[in-house]
Amino acid sequence: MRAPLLVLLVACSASIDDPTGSPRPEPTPRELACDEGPTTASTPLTRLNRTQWSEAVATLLDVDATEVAATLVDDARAGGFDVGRGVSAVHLERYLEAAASVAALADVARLVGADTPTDFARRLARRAWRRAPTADELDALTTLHALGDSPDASARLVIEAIVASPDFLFHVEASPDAAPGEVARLDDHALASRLAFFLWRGLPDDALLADAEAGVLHDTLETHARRLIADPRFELAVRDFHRQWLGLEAIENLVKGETYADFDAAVARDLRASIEAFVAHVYANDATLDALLTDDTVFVNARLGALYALPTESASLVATHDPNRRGLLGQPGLLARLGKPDQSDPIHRGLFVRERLLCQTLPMPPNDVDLTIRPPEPGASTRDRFAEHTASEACAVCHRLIDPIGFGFESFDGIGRFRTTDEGVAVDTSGEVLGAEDASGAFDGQPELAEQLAQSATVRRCVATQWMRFALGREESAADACSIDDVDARFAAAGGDLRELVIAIATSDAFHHRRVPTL
Amino acid sequence: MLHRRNFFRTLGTAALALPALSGLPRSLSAQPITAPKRLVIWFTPNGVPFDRWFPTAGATERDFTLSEMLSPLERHRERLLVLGAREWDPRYVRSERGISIKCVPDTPSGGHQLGMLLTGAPMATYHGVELGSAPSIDQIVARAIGDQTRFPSLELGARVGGNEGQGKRLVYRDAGQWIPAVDRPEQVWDRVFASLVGSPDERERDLARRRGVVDFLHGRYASLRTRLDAGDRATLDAHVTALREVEGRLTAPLNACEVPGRPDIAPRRWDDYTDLPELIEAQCDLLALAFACDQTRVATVQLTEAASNARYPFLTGTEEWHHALSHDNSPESVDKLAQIGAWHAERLSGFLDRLAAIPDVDGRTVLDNTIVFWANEMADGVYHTHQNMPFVLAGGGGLRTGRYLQLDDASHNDLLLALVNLMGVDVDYVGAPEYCTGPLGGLT
Repeated sequence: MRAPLLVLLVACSASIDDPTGSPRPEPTPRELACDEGPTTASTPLTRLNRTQWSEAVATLLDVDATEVAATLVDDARAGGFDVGRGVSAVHLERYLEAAASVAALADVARLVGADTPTDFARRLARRAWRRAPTADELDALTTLHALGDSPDASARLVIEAIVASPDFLFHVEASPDAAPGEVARLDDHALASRLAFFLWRGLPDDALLADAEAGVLHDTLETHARRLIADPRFELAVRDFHRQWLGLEAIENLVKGETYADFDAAVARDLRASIEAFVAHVYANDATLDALLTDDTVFVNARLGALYALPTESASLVATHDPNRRGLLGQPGLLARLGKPDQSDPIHRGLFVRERLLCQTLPMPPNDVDLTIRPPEPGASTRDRFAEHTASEACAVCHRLIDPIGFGFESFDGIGRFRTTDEGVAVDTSGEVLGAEDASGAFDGQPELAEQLAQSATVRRCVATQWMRFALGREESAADACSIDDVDARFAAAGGDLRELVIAIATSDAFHHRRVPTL
Repeated sequence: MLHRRNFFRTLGTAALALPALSGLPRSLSAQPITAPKRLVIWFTPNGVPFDRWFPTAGATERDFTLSEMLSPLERHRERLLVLGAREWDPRYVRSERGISIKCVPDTPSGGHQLGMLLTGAPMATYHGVELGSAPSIDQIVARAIGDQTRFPSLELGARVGGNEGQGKRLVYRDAGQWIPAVDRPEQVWDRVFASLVGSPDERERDLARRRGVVDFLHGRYASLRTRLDAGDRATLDAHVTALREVEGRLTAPLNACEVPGRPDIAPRRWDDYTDLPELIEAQCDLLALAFACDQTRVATVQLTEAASNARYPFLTGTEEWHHALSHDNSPESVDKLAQIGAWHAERLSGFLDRLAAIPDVDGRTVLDNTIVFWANEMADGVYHTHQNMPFVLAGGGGLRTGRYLQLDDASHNDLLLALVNLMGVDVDYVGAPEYCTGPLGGLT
């Protein structure tokens, strides 16, 4: 039986009475017939998210748009990933202002070159809108051009209008020949955009647009996908995926208490860079899920090395090896993020594994429970204090799914330093994963947990699902199960190769088809 | 240019010389002039420690003693209508006394859902994003009266900290359509006042350029609409509605207006909240001026966010987080919470001072014609309750103030409905109809 798409551990119900500790997963609505043509769910009409907006503007105008993009209203988050949804006058005003701001930044003389105003408008609009502008649209742009009181002002006005246009802002996808609810092939232009915004986070290039215009992109899709991930711009997508999947931006904002007096803003910044270097290292070498979860490389500079007992004299980050840590879950930055200001944090470490690596969601704690935990004191280990806190049956029903995973990380303190004692007590790193299909089982310490997760098909499917959310800009639903099955099978057949995972997604039915929205 | 800090000193003495509310129709006849009504929602988070919040009741509604947390409002006592439970027994924190938020789901849900507070409806998930499922009352009112001013409503904040996450999203234009709070004063200034400065020629050139772009965009939206699937058009239409609102501001007559200097407050690191006092002052100044120039009649002021972890070292002397404190009922933590709450009350009191200093067209003050609703997403922070909500009304606009109104089992939907009705909007229910029995009585 294949792993359920998304196990909602319904109020963690069954787990108390069931001696095997297996929570009842929500029954999946169906076993989709996967041989009756493509299936997928609808994606609501969505704008470029801020990263995509920024990248698209940067390519279009050759400017650094990061600061301007930061003035846009925050993206919403669906399935853990940024999506451009929600609208109000404030949203619209920010887009208008931002368009004017980037138009002001552009080197207009160079952008326009020797083009006539109309040729310039045609060229820029085609690139920005990912399609050729119509004659009416060119007329309207020419009218606008005439409003400027100098050639420079006119060109900026044209830039502003093109960047503020809905054809730039939206992921425009439509199926005029299909009925609501029907699953249809994406038209070539929409597919070119999907692919570029997935793998480069930005605009399709000329080669993609040429195949789209020739109507052959469905045939050349895999070739283009391989070309795009071989380009350095794919590194941005890798960074962007991991930032969101793992919540990495939180690392550089970390603040710790007096317990960790050596932890300052510079350490926090280094830790963010360190985990990004780790991810880049994995992708530059093996690029497998196994390496991502079990590689014992840690990147440190002199400052981090001194704090984490991995000495180096290098001012910049260098690779070192730490036998006490394995993969992403052993990275000091992530462990510090999943640590409290004055102690470790078994609950959030356990939850992180549940949500991000097993794709399981747990309910919120009941409204009426006391959430305070006895503060640290000598002789009382974190494990013991947390165990007291969740001993009551009302708490244990869910926490038995969380805490035994988190306790396995107890050899790392609140900033992710390796330790063998906690408040004078020898740390106990025995742990257990319950109710997670083939990821289940007892383990001792983070390295063993990493191996256990790396060998699990449940984890592999979850990672594939996370990338799928990132690619589609929405949460998966039951109708995507066939595509996820297919992607997961190809991912497994490729030995957990992360680049092949991305190719499998880009060539999956859910990616090159769409379900026409119903009213 | 008027420096921000000096503004209300100036207003205090020279307020009567302001071209106050000059955009309003003035009748030269002897008919009494009716002033517009205004609505302000003032939000602070994390619930309150009850024994430090609710007034001590006396023999009559008018005979009450303000608590420590509300005492900074003493100078506006005659303008207050404090709401609370009759015969409250602290041993039963979940008994349905006072005003309760009834649309809270029974299932574990965190309890800090901000999208229920002004909508009276449970949260819902829209393509994976948790949002309010009905319009908030400020937007119900804005939709009815908003076309009379340049801004149908203004959403201000202080240290809301972005807009991602349901706890930051207070205001809903409609189900699933949240409106972000603008939590930087300079951005509020840019929206409201930037078009009011400069020479008429400069302004006209700038507006002409903006109108040209907006005209162009209307064409593009119309064209895109014909190409989209029918099921996607509603989303695009919401964008067109927003574009029309922006466009309206480019064509609306600009009232003569005393324009303040553009605020200039350096952004702080995310965990450094020492700018909170300055930010709140600046936002209150700007909102009072926006009322004085009749730029809007509906506003929300969102101080931080639901479940906020703001820190108040300038008050409490510690770096403890507000939300963490709210979960701790030790005497030390309760003292700090009371300090924070009293400080919030003092900010509100200062805002009421400002409104009281602005003469209105009917010869009274703006405060006399404004309904202020101080709201919190939670009642008791330790137990995460929604019974006996710590709600305070202030101002005028038809409220019978100077009272401590004690209620039995009232629904917060009925309070929301009463406020909407008081603002002159004739609807029968707000939010989830099953929690509405009719407008809450006793307010007028």
